[in-house]
Amino acid sequence: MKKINLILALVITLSACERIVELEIPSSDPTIVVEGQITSQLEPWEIRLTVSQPYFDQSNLSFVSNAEVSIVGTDGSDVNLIHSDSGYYKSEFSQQCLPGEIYSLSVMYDGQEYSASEVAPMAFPIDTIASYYLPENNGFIEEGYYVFIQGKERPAKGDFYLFKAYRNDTLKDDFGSNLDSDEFGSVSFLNEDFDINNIASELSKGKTPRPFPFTVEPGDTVRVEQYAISEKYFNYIFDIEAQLGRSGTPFDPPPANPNNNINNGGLGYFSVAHKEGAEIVVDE
Amino acid sequence: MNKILKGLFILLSISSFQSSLLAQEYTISGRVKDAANGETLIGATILIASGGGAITNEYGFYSLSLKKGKYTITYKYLGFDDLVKTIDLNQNKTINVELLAKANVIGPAIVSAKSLEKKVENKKISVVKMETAKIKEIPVIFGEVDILKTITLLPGIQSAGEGNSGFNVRGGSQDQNLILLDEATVYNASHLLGFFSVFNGDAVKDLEVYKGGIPAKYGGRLSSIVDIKMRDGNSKRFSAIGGLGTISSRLTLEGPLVKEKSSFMIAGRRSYADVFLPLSSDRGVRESKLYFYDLNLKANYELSDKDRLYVSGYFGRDVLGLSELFKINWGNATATLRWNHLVNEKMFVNTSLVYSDFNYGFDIKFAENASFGLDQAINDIYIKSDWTNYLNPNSKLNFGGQVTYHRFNPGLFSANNEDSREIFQDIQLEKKKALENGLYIDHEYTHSKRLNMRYGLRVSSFSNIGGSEFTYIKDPLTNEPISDSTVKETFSSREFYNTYVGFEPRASISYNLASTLALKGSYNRTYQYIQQASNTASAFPTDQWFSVNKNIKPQKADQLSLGIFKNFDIGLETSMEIYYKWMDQQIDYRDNARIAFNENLDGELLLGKGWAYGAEFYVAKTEGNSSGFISYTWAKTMRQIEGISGGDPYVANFDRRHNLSLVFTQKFSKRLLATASFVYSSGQPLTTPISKYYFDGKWNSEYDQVRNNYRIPAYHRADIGVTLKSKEKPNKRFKSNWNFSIYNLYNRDNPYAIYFRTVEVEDLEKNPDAITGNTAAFQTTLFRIIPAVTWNFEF
Repeated sequence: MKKINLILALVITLSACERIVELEIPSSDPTIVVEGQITSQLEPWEIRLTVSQPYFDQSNLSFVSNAEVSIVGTDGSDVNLIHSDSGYYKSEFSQQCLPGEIYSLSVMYDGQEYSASEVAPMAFPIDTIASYYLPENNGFIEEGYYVFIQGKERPAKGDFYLFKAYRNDTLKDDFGSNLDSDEFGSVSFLNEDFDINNIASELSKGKTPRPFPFTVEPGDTVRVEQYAISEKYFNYIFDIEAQLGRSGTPFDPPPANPNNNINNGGLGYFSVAHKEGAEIVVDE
Repeated sequence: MNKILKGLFILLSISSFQSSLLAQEYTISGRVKDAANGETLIGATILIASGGGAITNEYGFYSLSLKKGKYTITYKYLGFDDLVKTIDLNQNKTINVELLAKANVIGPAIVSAKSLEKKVENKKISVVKMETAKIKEIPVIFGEVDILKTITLLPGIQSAGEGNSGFNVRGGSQDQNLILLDEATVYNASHLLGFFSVFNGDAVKDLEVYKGGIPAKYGGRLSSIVDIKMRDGNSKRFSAIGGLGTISSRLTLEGPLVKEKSSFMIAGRRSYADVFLPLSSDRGVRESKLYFYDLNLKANYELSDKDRLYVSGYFGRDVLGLSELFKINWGNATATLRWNHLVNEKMFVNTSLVYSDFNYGFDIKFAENASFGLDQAINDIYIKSDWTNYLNPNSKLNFGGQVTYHRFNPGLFSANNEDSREIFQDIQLEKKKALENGLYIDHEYTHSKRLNMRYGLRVSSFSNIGGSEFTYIKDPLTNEPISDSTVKETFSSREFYNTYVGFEPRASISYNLASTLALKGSYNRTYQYIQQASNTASAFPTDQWFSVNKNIKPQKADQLSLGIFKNFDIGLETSMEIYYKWMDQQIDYRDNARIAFNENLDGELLLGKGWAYGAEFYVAKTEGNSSGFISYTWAKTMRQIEGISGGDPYVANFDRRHNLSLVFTQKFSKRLLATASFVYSSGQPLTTPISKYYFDGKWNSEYDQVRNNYRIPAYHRADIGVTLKSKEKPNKRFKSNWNFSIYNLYNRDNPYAIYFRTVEVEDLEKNPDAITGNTAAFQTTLFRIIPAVTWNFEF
């Protein structure tokens, strides 16, 4: 869609312009916002509770510090999360979720209960992480070093992934969608059809892997996290990204709230994911 | 139903036979043409001094049956000198006449009382007509003559917005307009994503828009019919017209194939913004493509006194490409073969074979081994036959039918090169086929000098044809919604597995209260079986066309309109109309719908009802040195769809409460003419956020459950245009004119879109005065003041 916008910008003469305008629009009452993800990796569980605010409000983010938060799993786990600071609630010990089990979050706040539950997905670990050099701008990404991974998909359809990539411990969240699924074929970030042992010969044939779209330098440490997520969470992130991608062109999606899994009118999402990781030090 | 048909039959029998039994009758028939180029004149009036008359049809043909005797007949056409003939009618006569265009004179307009009366009588309720000559005088953006943009100045027709050639008629969505070019359906009437319409002003003869009171011969769309006729071409001599504009250039060549018997016209147009792209220093821009072109072709041949053949075609294409990596292209192609035949002096029949195709595609290249294309199309072939029986001067019977074979290709996703094919298997969404039929009968009847009426019935049907897999969204047995779309059925390729039938009564009536004052009313029911739905902020060429089926029922509308028409002898024509429209099975997508390449599109749709009402006012002065019109529409358009806005009624996206346009033309001399126009319309409805919340490191919007809870600021704009014609020299055929125009004269900052997002650092630099939090409302503006020059010529 970004490309279309570029073309449109070309079409719409160069006189098209944009400015901030002040409007009087309606406001809703503050609503609780849940932001939480628990994974298969053994680590303390953490979620964040904040409150929504009027759209043009200039005050800082306000968070919830006096809620009772717990997560119960069909694997027998029953974990209380305690407020640390800035709306973050943490479990005392490290926990992990097991594939196929159901985990339910409960938040007691202001006399109301907000809850959500998800089934923990499963996935294969990342097989290989590698880097390659792209000698010239191919129109989508510029020349430079890139990191990619290779992994196996589960045989059946219905794999939904979210990828996070860190360059020298900094999360690279300025690239487009980091979602991928096998809905229309294969999970392309997993590069199943690319012969990772013969990168040079594959590249010489004009074949390129799908890398994480940011350049790196030799010597950089790149860490990739693969989250197998539920279809609902995949759609939630997809819709949120679509809504955030507004640019004031006719290609913008109609305004809509993504479907979330917090009941009782709460905003945000409680996700249960399977997490795998891989790390590489880029060489020449 | 039987009762209606029976009643219709009785009425027809009475009116057809009553007069013919009384006395010996003869028929005068023929064609009315423009003396300068032999173009037939549509809607020319034939007046009998002793009362009564006729109007030429879309082929310039008229037929008038009168008792034996002497008559004085006047042939009239706007902008032409009257022609008076005296005849002694003692046998059937063919009288072909040619009218001379009025000399380009300056002086006060002489308006005869007679013509004013006639005008009140001839004005049909809810129908607007515009001559191309008039359209060309009205200033438009970049000086590009655009008939679809210009008709939005008229009451009841709203522009879908700046930079969009779409329009909404009386609360109908854009896909509810049937746009016909020489009888062929034009599925997409826009160039450059909607900046211009596909009709080349030089190739168009005449345009009529039915907002209501739609005659029974038209069907297939709910809200309006835009009937555009191409010019036939000069049958007297070879000539050319053309022009150089800011955006495009055009050239039309025309002439006789056989003098006075046969003519041709070929009109081409191409944009040339892309000619400058290679000059850019940026490689991406240099390799980009951005152009449109269109070609209109027409030829006709007189086989005999009674038979005439017409062939016409349109071919247009748009290409937008960003280097070789991304490309969109779309285009229409239509072809019409028509055969006019006179069965006898009273019976005119036209039979047409029509082909219409609209297709579009995306090409995207991620890498050498990942280059893909997506192609979608709709393709129609139809045959129709329209008969008119000119029973007597007071009674005209129209009947006929149409059979359309539709083919839909909802999407082929394919690899574009060898390497990509190795790793990718083409995906073809199930192609669909359908048959749409229409049969109609329609009677135009003048009861007395005061009262005349037109009533008819159209019976339409639509059948889905098997041969592909069909996915149910509701269980066919229990009628319960199915969530995972697994219930599928495959029908054999010749099976009509689902059929809808619609009865569409149509009627209009006119009553003259006084000689220049008439009351008119109309009712029509319309059905629509194929439609388009848009999941973006505005409608696009790439919005998919799809048909009704077992999941989706046809759209249905009933419309009532009432009007009062009054002409004043100072040369003013005025009218006021009110309408109310009820609409069924109106379509919208559910929130966050996935429509791109979705096999189960039906599952993303929501259906509900709509209603619209309004009042339209129109005052025009058509003759004289100063002419122009004022048009004002008050309108309200509502929708109510389960699953949207909590199931409550909401204002439709294209609801604009007030619409005003003023157009004023002043002729200063034989050579100099200026036109000024002003438009105002209420702001577009918008759904705003009601809060913001922080999630995953970003500020998100929580949108109001109430759809369209807000209205953006109003749109208004003034334009001016000046046309300077070259000196007329006797014996010189070459004529030219310069047209200078200024769009958005007072540089109004009209909102093109208002949207909400996070404030970036650059935004603060660009808006130093803005007091804002981390999120804000942004307004984009498309066109500020734009001057343009066009040079036109003809010889």
